[in-house]
Amino acid sequence: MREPTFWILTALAAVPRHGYGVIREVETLSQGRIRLQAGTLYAALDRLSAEGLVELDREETVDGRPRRYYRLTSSGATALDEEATRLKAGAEAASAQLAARRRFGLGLSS
Amino acid sequence: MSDRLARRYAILLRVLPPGARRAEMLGTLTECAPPGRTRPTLREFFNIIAYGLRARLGRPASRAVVVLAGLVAVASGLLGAAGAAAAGWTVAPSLASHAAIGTTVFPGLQVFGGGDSEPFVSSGDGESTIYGYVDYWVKNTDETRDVRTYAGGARDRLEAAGWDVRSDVIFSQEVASEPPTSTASFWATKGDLVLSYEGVYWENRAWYDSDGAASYTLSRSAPWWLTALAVTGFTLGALFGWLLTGWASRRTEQKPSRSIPASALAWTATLLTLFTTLIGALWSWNPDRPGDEVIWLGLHTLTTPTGAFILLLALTALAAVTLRALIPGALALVVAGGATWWPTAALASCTPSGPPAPAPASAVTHSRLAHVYIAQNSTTDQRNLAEAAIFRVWGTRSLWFHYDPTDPEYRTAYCNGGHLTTDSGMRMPYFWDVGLSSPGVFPALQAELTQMPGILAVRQAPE
Repeated sequence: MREPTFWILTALAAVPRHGYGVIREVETLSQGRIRLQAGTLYAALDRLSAEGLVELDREETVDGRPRRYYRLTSSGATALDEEATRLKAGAEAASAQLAARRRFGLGLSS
Repeated sequence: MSDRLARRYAILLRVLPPGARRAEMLGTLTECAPPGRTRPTLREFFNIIAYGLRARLGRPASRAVVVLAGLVAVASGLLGAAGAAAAGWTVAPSLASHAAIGTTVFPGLQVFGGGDSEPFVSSGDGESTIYGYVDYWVKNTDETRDVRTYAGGARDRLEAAGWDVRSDVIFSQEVASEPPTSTASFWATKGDLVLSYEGVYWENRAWYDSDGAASYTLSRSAPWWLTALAVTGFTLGALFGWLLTGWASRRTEQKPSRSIPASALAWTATLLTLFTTLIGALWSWNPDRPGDEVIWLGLHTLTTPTGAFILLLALTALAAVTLRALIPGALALVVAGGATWWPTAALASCTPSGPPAPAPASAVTHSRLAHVYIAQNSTTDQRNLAEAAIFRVWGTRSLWFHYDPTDPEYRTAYCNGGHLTTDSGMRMPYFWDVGLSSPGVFPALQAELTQMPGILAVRQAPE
């Protein structure tokens, strides 16, 4: 799973959001590190919908413009959970190895 | 958020396929834009174009469709470039107006040859395609028989006249061959012209045989506007190929019975296009020529029957998508087929009374074929001497003698391809079918032969 995909699923995990909502939520959750382009977001939403990980929640009209809200499906939640577990395992492995490095008396910067 | 920005986004969003997504994305983009922005950023611009092109392919979860669309775009781009180049070459500058170069290369000598040529012709052995060229030559003199020195002098004279000499004089001598042969060659360019020089001297020749010649050929290089035309053709073709793939992909998204045969045919047509271009380019490529020729030769391959076969495959692929798409293609095929068939049907039989009248100049401008007619009662000596005379002409490439009236060549030589009535062929003069190196060789052939005993006519024939 690529990083934008991971963050989009994460942003949709709690509540359904529309396009701009997802972009803003990803930016907040990643502490400003990830700012999705609209094209990247909708390409990912198209793909995730086709894979059944995301689906349309509802459609509203605000200021005369359609606003579509997307939500995570249960298989989307499973996929995100698996990815989170994988990332967590990876992060734990890295931390453990770095701790070992410190025990040998080596710092983080040489 | 300004109205101007929204308008600009709306224009940009037309790259997306029509649908609700355009309005939805416009909302998102305007919500994202900081106040005061009046035009999309460069990053947004390319991101939207990329997404729009991808969205036009449908099948959001498929990677194969992106690969196929990319290859189809390259292939149809090549076809577009080939079409544009073919159209461009038809108005390429004539080679006929360069006789003055002969005075530079061969000062004080009688120069033969000239004329014009088609942009592409088959090589002497028929194995590959080469740029069309015209021949110029002088009969060997004491001076030109020293092929190395004379080639060096010609090279210096061309350089002084502003030519860019592209190679050393390459000299070779085969003393053990029969006849002993010396050759010297080099090539040079100036503007859109390419000149290949070759001096040849054969020793120990009979009085009636030629002992070689100092010669050069002149051919074109692609002018700059042809490159611009081909690039435009490529871009339009590539865009068309991408959009067509998208249309076919979205139309067959839920119909594997259509999408499997259509994509199999599209893959075949695409790979065939790429291989044809590549093989065509490398097969005919000559390293002792300007480097861009490899591209034009490759594109030229696509204008041969292989190109028509590729288009037929593509048409069949579209037919697999929807039969309605076949209608314009089928109409085009009927028209093209009719146009090819029509002249063949018009061939009439005839009763010739002798060698045909000279063909109209427009019919033989680019013809490299000549017929030399000799009386039936000519002696063997006369025929042998005539054959030697034909080969004395520097640009003679091949020679076939025809004396049997049932020979199909009699129809081309006497009756424009139609049948000769009853036994009229029996009384017609024998003739040689002479292949010429370039169309402008013909006047020299005519001058060499017209006065010889037994010769009745020398005619340039439509190819």
